[in-house]
Amino acid sequence: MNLNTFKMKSSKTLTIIVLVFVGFFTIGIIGKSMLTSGYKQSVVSMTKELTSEQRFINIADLQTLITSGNQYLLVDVRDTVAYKSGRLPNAVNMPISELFSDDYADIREADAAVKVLYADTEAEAVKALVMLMHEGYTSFIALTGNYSIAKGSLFDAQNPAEWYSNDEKMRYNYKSLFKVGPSTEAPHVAADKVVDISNKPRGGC
Amino acid sequence: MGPLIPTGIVGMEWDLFFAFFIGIAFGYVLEQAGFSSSRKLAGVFYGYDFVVLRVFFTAAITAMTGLLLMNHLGMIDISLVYINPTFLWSAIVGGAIMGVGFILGGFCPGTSVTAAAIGKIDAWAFLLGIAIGILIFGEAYPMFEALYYGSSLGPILVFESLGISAGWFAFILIAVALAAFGITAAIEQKVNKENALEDTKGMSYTLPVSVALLVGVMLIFIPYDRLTSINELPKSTFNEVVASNKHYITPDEVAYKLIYDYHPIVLVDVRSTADFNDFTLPGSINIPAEQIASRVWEKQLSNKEQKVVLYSNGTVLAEKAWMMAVRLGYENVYVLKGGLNGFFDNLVNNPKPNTYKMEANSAYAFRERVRKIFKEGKADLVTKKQSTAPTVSPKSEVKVASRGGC
Repeated sequence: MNLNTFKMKSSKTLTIIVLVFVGFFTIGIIGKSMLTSGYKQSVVSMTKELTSEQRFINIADLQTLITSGNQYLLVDVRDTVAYKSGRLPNAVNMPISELFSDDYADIREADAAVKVLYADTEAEAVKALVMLMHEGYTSFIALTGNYSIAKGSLFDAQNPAEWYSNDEKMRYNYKSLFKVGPSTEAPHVAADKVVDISNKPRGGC
Repeated sequence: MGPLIPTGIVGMEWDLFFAFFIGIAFGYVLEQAGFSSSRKLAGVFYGYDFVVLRVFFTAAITAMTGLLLMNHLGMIDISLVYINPTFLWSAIVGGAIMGVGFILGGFCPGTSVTAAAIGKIDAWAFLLGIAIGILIFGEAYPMFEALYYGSSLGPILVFESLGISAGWFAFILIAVALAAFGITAAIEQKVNKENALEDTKGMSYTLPVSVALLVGVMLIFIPYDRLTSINELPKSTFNEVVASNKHYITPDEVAYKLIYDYHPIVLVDVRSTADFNDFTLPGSINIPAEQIASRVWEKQLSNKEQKVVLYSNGTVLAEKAWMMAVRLGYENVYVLKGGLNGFFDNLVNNPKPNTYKMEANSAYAFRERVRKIFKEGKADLVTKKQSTAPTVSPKSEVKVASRGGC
């Protein structure tokens, strides 16, 4: 085969490859917007973030944040009536039922590095947090404890005992109130230990 | 070796048995691909033979496609597959040493073994060198331990760093591989005309190329993060379900279940295993919140006959787990209102009603009775009678499922 025929044939092959590539790429881009998940974050990374502390702030840290002079925004996700009858100082209102309405676009897009969500219960703030994270808003965090604790202990009267309060704190000694435990009869299964060796490198070839 | 070992069909010790046969198959394939010839291996550096590149690209693409498809079809759980963490500097240094050794010696570690097996003397020398190198490394290890463990980036993945989906990455990799095949074929033609691939034109070439690309396009649409075989809820439906607040079970209902066991509820404790072992409601199973998305618990969470009630000390942790469960498409999952705190609140602070309303009075009486039963430990007698206790087979969740190597 002489050089000329080789050149011609290889350029043809390349043209075909490029055409096929571009064609599928275009179809792919159109198809992707139609078919892929609407969530901006995967379940796995959501679960990881929600069960760690990185998306949450307690009242003590909130106070540090406020006095530090850093940029922050307090966002009240209760309904407008509750917001009008009392709120944390400088808080703005974005009811949980209207998180994504155009009226509150300026709050969602605000520059503040940290936007702290709070509500009457911690669970309600977390709900708002999850919905915002699903839409891809990454600057929001949620306040542990709730509005009344924050209001009472942080701004009205200083009560350090409640600074680290959160919803998951044990409020009763369960065992003294309930005389059966898993050790007696309950058919329970403890999750087996996850052997985490992810920090150790292991051999390749 | 899934699915036999994780499902308990055969024991862990059979790993060695399977490894033996997989090893034989692997060696056979390497030898058949011509990888026991150091000329062939080094050819990729001089440009006269790119078979190494083609074989590795093909292997990577086949494995990748298989993984994505099998994950999608629920045949493997990709969240359990071990991902080697990236140690940046040790990877750079090790890669440089390996590359130099590859050109000098003409083998990479795996291929040197196959070459040694067919009796090549240089391969035996190479193997001896490997052994000496391992010995030196082992002895001198404390000296460069800092480098070895330094600059860990964690188990990062290319497509996550780029912010694209796994499917897109698969598609791009396939496209890059095909382009590489075309380009290397052209280079081979120039450098080494006699041995070059002749078959780079016509249907026999373009057809496989288009089929491979088609597979790549298909992979784009396969969601990588679907960990269960249940469908992920659309976002709008998710927001509706979350906003509707219909997912709470009252403490009274749970108390009723604990006393009269036939009430159709399965209790799930989403706290840590330590808390669970310290105290839990009888009959509960433990699914720590951070494991809620794992396929291990799919059977327990997709219970159709009984309500699956999640609880923790308060409401928040259970609520978080609930939201993830809802997103994963589990339909029959609820949250105990107020958690354990609320449950005992209900019993301890049980005000005597001032009205003559029957509901209020009977609720008061019920809670008083429940409190007494629980305090005296008599619930134990009741729950013992149950025959339909939720039997859960423990599944080991070990993060080590697969390991690399060539």
